[in-house]
Amino acid sequence: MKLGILLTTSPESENTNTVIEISKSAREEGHEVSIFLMYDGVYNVNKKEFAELAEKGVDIAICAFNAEQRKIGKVDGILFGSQYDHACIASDVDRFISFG
Amino acid sequence: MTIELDLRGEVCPYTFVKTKLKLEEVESGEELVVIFDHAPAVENVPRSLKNEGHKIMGIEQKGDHLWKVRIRKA
Repeated sequence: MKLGILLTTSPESENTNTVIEISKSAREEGHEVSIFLMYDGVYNVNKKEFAELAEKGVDIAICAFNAEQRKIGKVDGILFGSQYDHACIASDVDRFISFG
Repeated sequence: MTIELDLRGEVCPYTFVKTKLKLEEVESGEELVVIFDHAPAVENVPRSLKNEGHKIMGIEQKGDHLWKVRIRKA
């Protein structure tokens, strides 16, 4: 199954841990996972757990505009994309979960 | 014929949406030149359009925060 996740809250929110644990479990079960970070969710991109998710094969994309507004620099392995990428994820996956 | 679209002052996602809408007015094989002053759009709009099958003929920086992107409609 393909799972899409939208995260729009900053790392202080409990949503961050939920997204990390769901993504880890889904990958361990062999599912494809794509995460899109926007609004304050872009701050999560610097968390080591997200780098670990990317290493485990989770596709992570981030709203480049929101990142620029919050002075977040580019991170290797993360697509600094746009709402087009968000739309592609939503269109491509079997299930989409939004955390905001 | 080349059509020009000035998107100075526009940011994501309108940069992509307005480019896509303008491309609907362009014939297949014709070129659309889009002017951007929003840096993330210069990377993301061409990548998204390529994904839609269009061809990026060139990206030219015309100033400190000014770019022209030439697109050939599929």
